Amino acid sequence: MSIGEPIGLTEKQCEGEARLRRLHPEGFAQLKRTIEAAWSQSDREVLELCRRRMAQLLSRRRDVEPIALTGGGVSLPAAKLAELPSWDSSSEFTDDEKAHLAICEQFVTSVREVGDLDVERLRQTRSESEIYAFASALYVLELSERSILALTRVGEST
Amino acid sequence: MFYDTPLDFEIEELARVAMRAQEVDPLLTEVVRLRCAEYHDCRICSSLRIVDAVAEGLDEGMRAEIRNYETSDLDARLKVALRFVDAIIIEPESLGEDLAGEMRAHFTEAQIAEIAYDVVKWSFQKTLVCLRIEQPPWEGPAGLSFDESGETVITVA
Repeated sequence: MSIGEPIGLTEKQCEGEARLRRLHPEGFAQLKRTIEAAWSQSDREVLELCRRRMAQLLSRRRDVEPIALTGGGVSLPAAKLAELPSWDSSSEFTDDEKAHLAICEQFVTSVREVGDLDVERLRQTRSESEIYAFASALYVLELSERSILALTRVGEST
Repeated sequence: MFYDTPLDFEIEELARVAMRAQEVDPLLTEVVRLRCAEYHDCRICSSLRIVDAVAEGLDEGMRAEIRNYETSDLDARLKVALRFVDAIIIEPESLGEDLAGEMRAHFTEAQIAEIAYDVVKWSFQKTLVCLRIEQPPWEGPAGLSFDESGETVITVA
Protein backbone atom coordinates (compact mmCIF):
# COMPACT_ATOMS: atom_id res chain seq x y z
CA MET A 1 0.00 0.00 0.00
CA SER A 2 1.55 3.35 -0.99
CA ILE A 3 1.73 6.34 1.31
CA GLY A 4 1.05 9.73 -0.26
CA GLU A 5 1.18 13.36 0.77
CA PRO A 6 0.81 14.50 4.39
CA ILE A 7 -2.68 15.50 5.49
CA GLY A 8 -4.49 16.33 8.71
CA LEU A 9 -8.10 15.22 8.95
CA THR A 10 -8.75 15.71 12.64
CA GLU A 11 -11.52 18.27 12.20
CA LYS A 12 -13.34 16.22 9.58
CA GLN A 13 -12.94 13.02 11.57
CA CYS A 14 -14.60 14.69 14.56
CA GLU A 15 -17.79 14.90 12.48
CA GLY A 16 -18.10 11.12 12.35
CA GLU A 17 -17.39 10.85 16.06
CA ALA A 18 -20.03 13.48 16.85
CA ARG A 19 -22.48 11.72 14.55
CA LEU A 20 -22.09 8.39 16.34
CA ARG A 21 -22.36 10.10 19.75
CA ARG A 22 -25.61 11.82 18.72
CA LEU A 23 -27.26 8.98 16.80
CA HIS A 24 -26.14 5.97 18.83
CA PRO A 25 -25.28 7.35 22.30
CA GLU A 26 -25.26 4.00 24.08
CA GLY A 27 -23.04 2.55 21.38
CA PHE A 28 -20.68 5.51 21.47
CA ALA A 29 -20.34 5.36 25.26
CA GLN A 30 -19.63 1.63 25.11
CA LEU A 31 -17.10 2.08 22.33
CA LYS A 32 -15.24 4.60 24.53
CA ARG A 33 -15.21 2.18 27.47
CA THR A 34 -13.93 -0.61 25.22
CA ILE A 35 -11.15 1.60 23.86
CA GLU A 36 -10.14 2.54 27.43
CA ALA A 37 -10.02 -1.16 28.35
CA ALA A 38 -7.88 -1.87 25.30
CA TRP A 39 -5.31 0.69 26.44
CA SER A 40 -5.37 -0.54 30.02
CA GLN A 41 -4.36 -4.06 28.95
CA SER A 42 -1.74 -3.23 26.37
CA ASP A 43 1.88 -2.29 26.01
CA ARG A 44 0.92 1.33 25.48
CA GLU A 45 3.89 2.38 23.35
CA VAL A 46 3.48 -0.60 21.04
CA LEU A 47 -0.25 0.02 20.74
CA GLU A 48 0.33 3.69 19.91
CA LEU A 49 2.77 2.67 17.17
CA CYS A 50 0.12 0.35 15.77
CA ARG A 51 -2.66 2.95 16.09
CA ARG A 52 -0.63 5.44 14.07
CA ARG A 53 0.39 2.86 11.49
CA MET A 54 -3.24 1.77 11.08
CA ALA A 55 -4.28 5.37 10.41
CA GLN A 56 -1.52 5.71 7.80
CA LEU A 57 -2.62 2.55 6.03
CA LEU A 58 -6.32 3.41 6.11
CA SER A 59 -5.74 6.92 4.77
CA ARG A 60 -2.80 5.98 2.51
CA ARG A 61 -1.09 9.03 3.91
CA ARG A 62 2.10 9.45 5.88
CA ASP A 63 1.30 12.19 8.39
CA VAL A 64 -2.38 11.63 9.09
CA GLU A 65 -3.56 11.86 12.69
CA PRO A 66 -5.63 8.91 13.97
CA ILE A 67 -9.08 9.84 15.26
CA ALA A 68 -9.01 11.36 18.73
CA LEU A 69 -11.47 8.80 20.08
CA THR A 70 -8.95 5.97 19.86
CA GLY A 71 -6.12 7.85 21.58
CA GLY A 72 -4.53 6.64 24.80
CA GLY A 73 -2.50 9.73 25.67
CA VAL A 74 0.82 8.19 24.62
CA SER A 75 3.63 10.27 23.12
CA LEU A 76 6.23 8.66 20.89
CA PRO A 77 9.76 9.86 20.05
CA ALA A 78 9.80 12.03 16.94
CA ALA A 79 12.50 9.90 15.30
CA LYS A 80 10.33 6.82 15.65
CA LEU A 81 7.28 8.54 14.24
CA ALA A 82 9.28 9.79 11.26
CA GLU A 83 10.35 6.26 10.39
CA LEU A 84 7.04 4.53 11.06
CA PRO A 85 6.08 4.20 7.36
CA SER A 86 9.35 2.30 6.79
CA TRP A 87 9.50 0.51 10.16
CA ASP A 88 10.50 -2.80 8.59
CA SER A 89 13.89 -1.54 7.48
CA SER A 90 14.45 0.98 10.27
CA SER A 91 16.85 0.59 13.19
CA GLU A 92 14.56 2.74 15.35
CA PHE A 93 12.35 -0.26 16.11
CA THR A 94 13.04 -3.31 18.27
CA ASP A 95 12.35 -6.85 17.05
CA ASP A 96 9.36 -6.98 19.39
CA GLU A 97 7.93 -3.74 17.97
CA LYS A 98 8.49 -5.02 14.43
CA ALA A 99 6.70 -8.26 15.25
CA HIS A 100 3.69 -6.28 16.50
CA LEU A 101 3.74 -3.92 13.51
CA ALA A 102 3.89 -6.84 11.09
CA ILE A 103 0.72 -8.32 12.61
CA CYS A 104 -0.87 -4.88 12.68
CA GLU A 105 -0.28 -4.29 8.96
CA GLN A 106 -1.64 -7.68 8.01
CA PHE A 107 -4.60 -7.17 10.34
CA VAL A 108 -5.50 -3.97 8.48
CA THR A 109 -4.87 -5.09 4.92
CA SER A 110 -6.04 -8.74 5.00
CA VAL A 111 -6.51 -10.41 8.35
CA ARG A 112 -7.10 -13.79 6.70
CA GLU A 113 -3.46 -13.74 5.61
CA VAL A 114 -1.91 -13.36 9.05
CA GLY A 115 0.42 -16.34 9.18
CA ASP A 116 1.46 -18.73 11.93
CA LEU A 117 5.01 -17.40 11.63
CA ASP A 118 3.77 -13.84 12.27
CA VAL A 119 2.13 -14.95 15.51
CA GLU A 120 5.13 -17.13 16.40
CA ARG A 121 7.35 -14.04 16.33
CA LEU A 122 5.14 -12.48 19.03
CA ARG A 123 5.50 -15.62 21.15
CA GLN A 124 9.22 -14.88 21.49
CA THR A 125 8.36 -12.12 23.97
CA ARG A 126 4.65 -12.36 24.76
CA SER A 127 2.34 -14.82 26.50
CA GLU A 128 -0.79 -16.25 24.85
CA SER A 129 -3.02 -13.96 26.91
CA GLU A 130 -0.93 -10.92 25.93
CA ILE A 131 -1.15 -11.88 22.26
CA TYR A 132 -4.91 -12.30 22.53
CA ALA A 133 -5.22 -8.93 24.27
CA PHE A 134 -3.11 -7.32 21.54
CA ALA A 135 -5.26 -8.77 18.75
CA SER A 136 -8.37 -7.62 20.63
CA ALA A 137 -6.94 -4.12 21.07
CA LEU A 138 -6.09 -3.94 17.36
CA TYR A 139 -9.69 -4.86 16.57
CA VAL A 140 -11.15 -2.19 18.85
CA LEU A 141 -8.93 0.63 17.60
CA GLU A 142 -9.04 -0.33 13.93
CA LEU A 143 -12.80 -0.82 13.66
CA SER A 144 -13.39 2.40 15.60
CA GLU A 145 -11.17 4.25 13.13
CA ARG A 146 -12.85 2.63 10.14
CA SER A 147 -16.42 3.28 11.30
CA ILE A 148 -15.77 6.88 12.32
CA LEU A 149 -14.10 7.58 8.96
CA ALA A 150 -17.10 6.10 7.16
CA LEU A 151 -19.60 8.05 9.25
CA THR A 152 -17.64 11.22 8.55
CA ARG A 153 -17.74 10.63 4.82
CA VAL A 154 -21.39 9.62 4.62
CA GLY A 155 -22.41 13.06 5.85
CA GLU A 156 -25.74 14.29 7.09
CA SER A 157 -29.09 14.34 5.34
CA THR A 158 -29.99 17.68 3.85
CA MET B 1 -14.57 -15.07 26.31
CA PHE B 2 -11.11 -16.55 26.50
CA TYR B 3 -9.40 -14.79 29.40
CA ASP B 4 -12.23 -12.95 31.18
CA THR B 5 -10.29 -9.71 31.25
CA PRO B 6 -11.86 -6.22 31.50
CA LEU B 7 -11.27 -5.83 27.75
CA ASP B 8 -13.05 -9.12 27.04
CA PHE B 9 -15.97 -7.93 29.18
CA GLU B 10 -16.21 -4.58 27.37
CA ILE B 11 -16.10 -6.27 23.95
CA GLU B 12 -18.91 -8.57 25.04
CA GLU B 13 -20.89 -5.56 26.27
CA LEU B 14 -20.25 -3.77 22.97
CA ALA B 15 -21.84 -6.76 21.24
CA ARG B 16 -24.84 -6.72 23.57
CA VAL B 17 -25.37 -3.00 22.97
CA ALA B 18 -25.31 -3.58 19.21
CA MET B 19 -27.88 -6.35 19.43
CA ARG B 20 -30.24 -4.37 21.66
CA ALA B 21 -30.47 -1.61 19.05
CA GLN B 22 -33.62 -1.80 16.94
CA GLU B 23 -33.24 0.69 14.08
CA VAL B 24 -32.27 -1.97 11.54
CA ASP B 25 -34.34 -5.07 10.69
CA PRO B 26 -32.96 -8.61 11.25
CA LEU B 27 -32.62 -9.37 7.53
CA LEU B 28 -30.39 -6.37 6.92
CA THR B 29 -28.45 -7.12 10.11
CA GLU B 30 -27.83 -10.66 8.85
CA VAL B 31 -26.72 -9.56 5.39
CA VAL B 32 -24.24 -7.17 6.99
CA ARG B 33 -23.00 -9.90 9.36
CA LEU B 34 -22.57 -12.45 6.58
CA ARG B 35 -20.64 -10.00 4.41
CA CYS B 36 -18.21 -9.30 7.26
CA ALA B 37 -17.87 -13.04 7.89
CA GLU B 38 -17.12 -13.79 4.27
CA TYR B 39 -14.66 -10.96 3.73
CA HIS B 40 -12.72 -11.69 6.91
CA ASP B 41 -12.92 -15.47 6.36
CA CYS B 42 -14.46 -16.25 9.74
CA ARG B 43 -15.55 -19.89 9.83
CA ILE B 44 -17.63 -19.73 12.98
CA CYS B 45 -19.53 -16.63 11.80
CA SER B 46 -20.15 -18.21 8.39
CA SER B 47 -21.64 -21.26 10.08
CA LEU B 48 -24.34 -19.21 11.84
CA ARG B 49 -27.73 -17.93 10.62
CA ILE B 50 -29.74 -15.29 12.48
CA VAL B 51 -33.02 -17.04 13.25
CA ASP B 52 -35.16 -13.89 12.85
CA ALA B 53 -33.59 -13.23 9.43
CA VAL B 54 -34.43 -16.73 8.24
CA ALA B 55 -38.02 -16.06 9.36
CA GLU B 56 -37.95 -12.88 7.26
CA GLY B 57 -36.92 -14.80 4.15
CA LEU B 58 -33.15 -15.29 4.23
CA ASP B 59 -32.30 -18.58 2.53
CA GLU B 60 -29.09 -20.21 1.31
CA GLY B 61 -29.57 -18.84 -2.21
CA MET B 62 -29.72 -15.32 -0.87
CA ARG B 63 -26.72 -15.98 1.32
CA ALA B 64 -24.74 -17.12 -1.72
CA GLU B 65 -25.65 -13.94 -3.57
CA ILE B 66 -23.93 -11.77 -0.97
CA ARG B 67 -20.51 -12.79 -2.36
CA ASN B 68 -21.21 -11.14 -5.75
CA TYR B 69 -23.93 -8.84 -4.58
CA GLU B 70 -23.46 -6.17 -7.25
CA THR B 71 -24.63 -8.57 -9.99
CA SER B 72 -27.13 -10.39 -7.77
CA ASP B 73 -30.91 -10.18 -7.46
CA LEU B 74 -30.69 -8.71 -3.97
CA ASP B 75 -32.84 -5.61 -3.65
CA ALA B 76 -31.35 -2.14 -4.05
CA ARG B 77 -31.52 -1.33 -0.34
CA LEU B 78 -29.43 -4.37 0.58
CA LYS B 79 -26.90 -3.66 -2.17
CA VAL B 80 -26.43 -0.10 -0.93
CA ALA B 81 -25.93 -1.36 2.62
CA LEU B 82 -23.38 -3.90 1.39
CA ARG B 83 -21.45 -1.18 -0.45
CA PHE B 84 -21.33 0.76 2.82
CA VAL B 85 -20.11 -2.32 4.70
CA ASP B 86 -17.40 -2.86 2.09
CA ALA B 87 -16.31 0.75 2.36
CA ILE B 88 -15.85 0.34 6.12
CA ILE B 89 -14.11 -3.03 6.13
CA ILE B 90 -12.02 -2.55 2.98
CA GLU B 91 -11.24 1.12 2.41
CA PRO B 92 -13.18 3.85 4.26
CA GLU B 93 -11.45 6.59 2.26
CA SER B 94 -13.09 5.22 -0.89
CA LEU B 95 -16.54 6.15 0.38
CA GLY B 96 -17.55 8.89 -2.06
CA GLU B 97 -20.49 11.20 -2.48
CA ASP B 98 -22.35 8.73 -4.71
CA LEU B 99 -22.49 6.06 -2.01
CA ALA B 100 -23.10 8.65 0.69
CA GLY B 101 -26.11 9.88 -1.28
CA GLU B 102 -27.41 6.35 -1.78
CA MET B 103 -27.12 5.66 1.93
CA ARG B 104 -28.99 8.84 2.81
CA ALA B 105 -31.69 7.97 0.27
CA HIS B 106 -32.31 4.47 1.63
CA PHE B 107 -31.62 4.83 5.36
CA THR B 108 -32.21 7.26 8.19
CA GLU B 109 -29.22 8.79 9.96
CA ALA B 110 -29.87 6.55 12.97
CA GLN B 111 -29.94 3.46 10.76
CA ILE B 112 -26.66 4.45 9.12
CA ALA B 113 -25.05 4.87 12.55
CA GLU B 114 -26.43 1.50 13.64
CA ILE B 115 -25.13 -0.29 10.55
CA ALA B 116 -21.67 1.22 11.13
CA TYR B 117 -21.79 0.12 14.78
CA ASP B 118 -22.93 -3.36 13.76
CA VAL B 119 -19.91 -3.65 11.47
CA VAL B 120 -17.72 -2.87 14.49
CA LYS B 121 -19.53 -5.55 16.50
CA TRP B 122 -19.34 -8.29 13.87
CA SER B 123 -15.72 -7.53 13.03
CA PHE B 124 -14.56 -8.87 16.38
CA GLN B 125 -14.09 -11.92 14.19
CA LYS B 126 -10.83 -10.27 13.01
CA THR B 127 -9.28 -11.05 16.41
CA LEU B 128 -10.29 -14.70 16.09
CA VAL B 129 -9.21 -15.00 12.45
CA CYS B 130 -5.87 -13.31 13.20
CA LEU B 131 -5.09 -16.06 15.69
CA ARG B 132 -7.03 -18.72 13.74
CA ILE B 133 -9.16 -19.69 16.71
CA GLU B 134 -12.53 -19.43 14.93
CA GLN B 135 -13.18 -23.09 14.09
CA PRO B 136 -16.87 -23.80 14.93
CA PRO B 137 -17.35 -26.65 17.42
CA TRP B 138 -20.42 -27.86 15.51
CA GLU B 139 -21.07 -29.19 12.00
CA GLY B 140 -23.40 -27.43 9.57
CA PRO B 141 -25.29 -24.19 10.11
CA ALA B 142 -26.40 -23.25 13.63
CA GLY B 143 -29.10 -20.78 14.68
CA LEU B 144 -28.11 -17.39 16.08
CA SER B 145 -30.45 -15.28 18.19
CA PHE B 146 -30.24 -12.74 21.00
CA ASP B 147 -32.11 -12.42 24.28
CA GLU B 148 -33.54 -9.16 25.64
CA SER B 149 -30.17 -8.11 27.07
CA GLY B 150 -28.51 -8.67 23.71
CA GLU B 151 -26.79 -11.85 24.87
CA THR B 152 -25.96 -14.33 22.12
CA VAL B 153 -27.92 -17.60 21.98
CA ILE B 154 -26.63 -20.32 19.63
CA THR B 155 -28.89 -23.23 18.75
CA VAL B 156 -27.29 -26.31 17.22
CA ALA B 157 -29.69 -28.62 15.38
